[in-house]
Amino acid sequence: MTERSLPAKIGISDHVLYQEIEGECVLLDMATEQYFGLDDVGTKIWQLLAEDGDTEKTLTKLRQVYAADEATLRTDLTNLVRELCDKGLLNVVEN
Amino acid sequence: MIQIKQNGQVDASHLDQLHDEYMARRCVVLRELLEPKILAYLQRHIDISHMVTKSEVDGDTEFGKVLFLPESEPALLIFRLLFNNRKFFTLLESITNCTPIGNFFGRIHTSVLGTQHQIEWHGDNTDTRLLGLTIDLGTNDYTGGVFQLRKRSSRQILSEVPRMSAGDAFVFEIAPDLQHRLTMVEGGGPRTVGVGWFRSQPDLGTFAGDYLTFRRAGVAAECLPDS
Repeated sequence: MTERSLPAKIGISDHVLYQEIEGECVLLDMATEQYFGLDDVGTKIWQLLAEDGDTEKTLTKLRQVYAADEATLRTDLTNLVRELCDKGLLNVVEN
Repeated sequence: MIQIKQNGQVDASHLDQLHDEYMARRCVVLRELLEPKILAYLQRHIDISHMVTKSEVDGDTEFGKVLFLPESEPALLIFRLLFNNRKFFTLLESITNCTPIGNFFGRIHTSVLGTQHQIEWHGDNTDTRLLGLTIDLGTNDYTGGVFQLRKRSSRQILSEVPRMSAGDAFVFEIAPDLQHRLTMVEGGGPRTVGVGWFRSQPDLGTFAGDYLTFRRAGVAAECLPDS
């Protein structure tokens, strides 16, 4: 499997509707009509990414919330970010 | 002004004015409550939905008839998702001084000219309902279709809301001494609105499990991350 890097900066696609219901969130892609659900960890990551899109800041804040080592958190964050990018829910912001 | 945004946030300003309006009329108009992009999305879904006739009943008494969007329509899920918003609940509690809101249960309905679609005076004072909401989701001009709120005993009209612009809404009090009705559409139309009630029970977590799931609406959803 090809290792995928964590983009430095991401943005939320402008066709995504986000709604949080009691700690879990629903993402609706208004362009493709697809719905996605995020679990509580995914929701926390989304909220942090939504603040300013800086993935390193997000990683730092995740370390303050979850008792996992940095490598594990980085892998989980990278996988989720890449998956959300693949789905068109996030986009990578180029410098 | 209050506006529910695409990102789940709720913009709010001039809350004192909204509070004063509500206290005076027991009803408050919220202009441009939905962000235009969300409104357009909902309207597109409603346009392709199939509505069914439904009678409004209180016990054995029928007090109205309109077209309703069935539970299976995705537009209904989107509508309920948008208004089951904790931030919006808190703002409404502040404007209306109502007890804490647990959930929003809504429907989408349409009134068509010449079909006897109207809703007579009734109270809705049941099922832990605190506040009623109507939001204009239509794309057609119409006359008639006026919402009225009155005191039950004196029949004094407290509020009257004629046709609004799409995306505008009003919130009114549900109480034993109040009744409301919707007059018949007299021209143009149809009148398409989202309606519903902010209720004290059940709490949002319980309600979400029962009514805000994709499966209930027949919508395929994907859970991220994969587990």
